[in-house]
Amino acid sequence: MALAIDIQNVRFRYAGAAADCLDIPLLQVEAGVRTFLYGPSGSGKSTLLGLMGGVIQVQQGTLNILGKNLVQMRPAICDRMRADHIGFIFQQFNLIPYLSVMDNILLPCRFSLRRQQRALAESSTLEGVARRLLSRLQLEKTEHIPVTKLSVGQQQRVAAARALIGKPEIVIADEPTSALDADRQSAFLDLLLQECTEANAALIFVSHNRQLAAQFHHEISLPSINIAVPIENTL
Amino acid sequence: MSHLLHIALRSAWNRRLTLGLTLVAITLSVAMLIGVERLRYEAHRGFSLSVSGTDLVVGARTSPIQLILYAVFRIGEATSNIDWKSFQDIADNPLVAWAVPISLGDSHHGFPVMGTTPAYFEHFHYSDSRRLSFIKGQPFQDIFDVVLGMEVASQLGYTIGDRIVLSHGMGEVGLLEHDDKPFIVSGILAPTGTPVDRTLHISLEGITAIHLNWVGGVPMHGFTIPGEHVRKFDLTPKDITAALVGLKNRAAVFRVQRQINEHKDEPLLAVMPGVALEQLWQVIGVAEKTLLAVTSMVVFVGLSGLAAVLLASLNERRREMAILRAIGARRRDIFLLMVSESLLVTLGGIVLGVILLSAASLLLAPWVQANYGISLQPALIYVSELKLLVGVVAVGLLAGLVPGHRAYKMSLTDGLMSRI
Repeated sequence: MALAIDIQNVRFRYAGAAADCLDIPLLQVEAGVRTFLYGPSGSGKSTLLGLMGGVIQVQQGTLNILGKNLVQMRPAICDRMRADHIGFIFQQFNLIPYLSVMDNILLPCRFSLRRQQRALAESSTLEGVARRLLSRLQLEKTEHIPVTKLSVGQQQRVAAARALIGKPEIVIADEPTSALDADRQSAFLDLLLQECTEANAALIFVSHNRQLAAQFHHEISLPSINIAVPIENTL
Repeated sequence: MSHLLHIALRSAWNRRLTLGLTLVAITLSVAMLIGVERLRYEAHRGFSLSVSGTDLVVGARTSPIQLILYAVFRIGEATSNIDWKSFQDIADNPLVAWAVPISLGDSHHGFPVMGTTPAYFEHFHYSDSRRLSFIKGQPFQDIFDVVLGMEVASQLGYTIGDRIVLSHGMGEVGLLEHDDKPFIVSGILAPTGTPVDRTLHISLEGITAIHLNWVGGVPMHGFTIPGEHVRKFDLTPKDITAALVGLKNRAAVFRVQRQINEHKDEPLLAVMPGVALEQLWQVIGVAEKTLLAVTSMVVFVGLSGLAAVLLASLNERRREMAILRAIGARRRDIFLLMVSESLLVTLGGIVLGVILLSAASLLLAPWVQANYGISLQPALIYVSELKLLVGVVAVGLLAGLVPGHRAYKMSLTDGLMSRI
């Protein structure tokens, strides 16, 4: 099966830091597969996600996203890769506060022509695609509410809609449920898994709550694959 | 690009209070800068257009600037007069085509009264060789006829046939009046946008007549000469204030100028209006440059405020930048976002400032015209102001580069900033 993410011998050290923050001999994620990445704080999780997204430049090793090697790639091309193929969901404060729910969801289509075209393949208008996502995520009534007035759970679902619009091949969710209470956690996770399956996106779900791992195809523990010496209070 | 502009607009609207105050500061400073430039331009234009076709202005020996100011612009007063005989000598010079005498010193409700000959209406030109024209009536013919400039007539509500009493000296109050010899309005001149509009024109004989019974600036006590009897006297003036001279051949101007300056009977000064104006600009130029520098500084302060506001907002917008980066914004986009926001506010300030100034100059135009003789045109923007506005945009762009660069650097170090 094709690899969505293929990391080999990637080492990363922040400028001025004494030791490597990441040293990963091998990490592979197959296309369309749900992966649970267990990563307690300090394990280099944020750096790894930054590398996958092409926001942080890889210094050493191989980092293939959908078969394209991000190492040595120009930053603007990395940005294009991210815009075209990856949807991000963060722990919280995912939304641009001064944009409407609709504008927030449509942002990836503004930055990526590919996402826009893929979205328009589903429906005649981008708004139509967004509304369909909103309804699947049980957010029908939120379209005209200012995003700052939404509950945290609603905000996370809007963020999920934004990550999923235009069907990117990879969705990276970084602790998306940790700001939710237990009931809403599982409800959100169910919706996210269902939508990723629908979009046939590879989901990398990062969390320190191992109880959620049961619903994933794979579970990877970041401390076990990152052989860099852990240091206290990493960046 | 358009999506970035959309985001920048929404983001700016989200911080409308702080940006609004900055916008007000920039608006006011731009209005001030353009206002100073507009007054300077109009003053230059007004002065340059006020006299045309006159080759030399002649008066008693003084500074060329002073001579041109009182003879043409009715600003200030002559220190001494020139003899009627000197004037006749000049007029008789074979190189001289025409010479028009000017006699100043009296006034009417603050408007200057000028004694001259009917030749004035023929030879005096303004703007691009435009002649004076009458909208009503005709040049003075009788001793007690007066021709009004347009503004005098409209402000004081005079029309043909009205009787006017002139005052001795310049000023508004406390002047002795020539009330024994009233004048009758014989004509009203079309507006020219020059000091002519603010002048009352009478004959030289009229000037002599109203001062017949005056000695040393006051009327002789208990002795009046009724208007109907003045015709029995010799009304040829003893002296005049200045003269406008036109030559048969302009190439002779330096020769005639030298001849007049070397006049034997009394010290005279002949100046070319253009040269004297050039000297005037040199004197005023320092003040103009200072004023322009000060107002430019005010604009600079306004734009520095904008840079400060944008920089201060960066910290609270870090999260927003990281989200945009995660969605696929390039670092260049983040930079452009900041710069476009600063440009938006700068352009907004320029547009509002220009509108504010246009409204203000429309409202204040009559007052400026009356008090400073500068006519403000009802225009939104002058071509001469564009270079200043381009400068403002450039500084506004620079003001955006600082926070733009900082946001760019931040987006490098922050990465996705997924931990909060």
